[in-house]
Amino acid sequence: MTTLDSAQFSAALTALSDDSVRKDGEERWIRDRGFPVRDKDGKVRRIVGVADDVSETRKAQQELLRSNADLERFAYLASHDLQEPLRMVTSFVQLLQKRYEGELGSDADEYISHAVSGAERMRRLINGLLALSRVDSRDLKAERVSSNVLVRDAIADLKVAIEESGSKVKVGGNLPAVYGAKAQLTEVFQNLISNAIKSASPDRPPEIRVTARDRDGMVEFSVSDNGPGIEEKDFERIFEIFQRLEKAQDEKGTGIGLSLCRRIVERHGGKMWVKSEPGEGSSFVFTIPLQSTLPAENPA
Amino acid sequence: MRILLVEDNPAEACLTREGFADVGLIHELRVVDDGEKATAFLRREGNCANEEVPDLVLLDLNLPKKCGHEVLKDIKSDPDLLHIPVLVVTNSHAMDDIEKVYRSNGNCYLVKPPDLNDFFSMVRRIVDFWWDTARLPPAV
Repeated sequence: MTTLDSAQFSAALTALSDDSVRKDGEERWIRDRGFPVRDKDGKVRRIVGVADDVSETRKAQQELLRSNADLERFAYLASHDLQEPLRMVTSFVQLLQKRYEGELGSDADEYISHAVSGAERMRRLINGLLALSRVDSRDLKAERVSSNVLVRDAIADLKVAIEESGSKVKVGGNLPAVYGAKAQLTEVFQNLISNAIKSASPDRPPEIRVTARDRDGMVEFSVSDNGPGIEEKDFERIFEIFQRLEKAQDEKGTGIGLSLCRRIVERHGGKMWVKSEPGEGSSFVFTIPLQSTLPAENPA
Repeated sequence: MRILLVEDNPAEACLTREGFADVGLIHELRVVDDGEKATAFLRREGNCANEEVPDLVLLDLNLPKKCGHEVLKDIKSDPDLLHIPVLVVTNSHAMDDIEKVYRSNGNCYLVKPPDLNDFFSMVRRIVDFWWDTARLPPAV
């Protein structure tokens, strides 16, 4: 019995995919899986393998990728092109308010103020959608960043909201360095801290704690508050786009912040979830790699 | 002070006019709504023969017939016009546009703020700087 040398081995593997071009000339995608059968000396005698025609799966995969890219592009263009006409609506309604408030009767003042807040809300939504579509459409410029700096920048951006609400933000010790895009990660902390301030219990000023610990080669961050907490049935819903727990009129939220945070974290190869007991506050937890293990750099 | 506003959207032009009115000083604001008219106005061609050269140009980028970048190049390559400060006022945040404007010797690049009060205070700062702080050459 003969054994196979390495050239014969690869020829045998190639033979499995001889059908990659069909007789009618159509190209097909074939997936080969094979393993060598060795004799007692460890020499390869035979290759046993399966060749599957995976053209349909591959086609579906490519279509999915393309439609995702189209969708992102659409979201970007729609929100970008909507900004200009919206600016006109907002500005002129604001101008009406500025010039004619108190002169057109109280009904008119009320209608105008509804129009102003509607236009402002739409602007926040469009900016949120634009931010969401940018998470995936832009190159992730990842570097080693100190999470002390990320949290410090987030707190600095929220200075006014923190002071006005009488919030205390405590950072638990020295936070580790992570690997990621600085602006995006700052946005995650900013959104989480800002959410904690906005959803505070009416009877106590917000206390927010930012902590970090190592977990399986990742850093696990936690942003905890002493707010009213979230019921378990809402744990997943709050991360869905446009889902909010409060009524539309009494909150400044857009329902985009948490979807944006989760998307940024996932883009970095991490995960994000919430832990909470009603009445006991909530902890938003997410993981970020310590080292460069970004999916963007290691395409599957 | 004479200002030429190059802006194709009448609503934007109206808002800019309101912005200058809000500052309180009386300014002569002329509006042209495409790039070709802007060049014709500045060179006093055709029915613009009696127009006076403005002290300041406010230029949008997204214009019909001739885009703002081309109008800026026309101005900055014309010995009779290149001294006029050109302020690009646009909705574009694109780094490309910003760089192109300064490379074509645009004097200033401003993004229109989405909020009315912010827009009005931008107009106020334009007036404060170009009228009260900076010194301009005498009118030709």
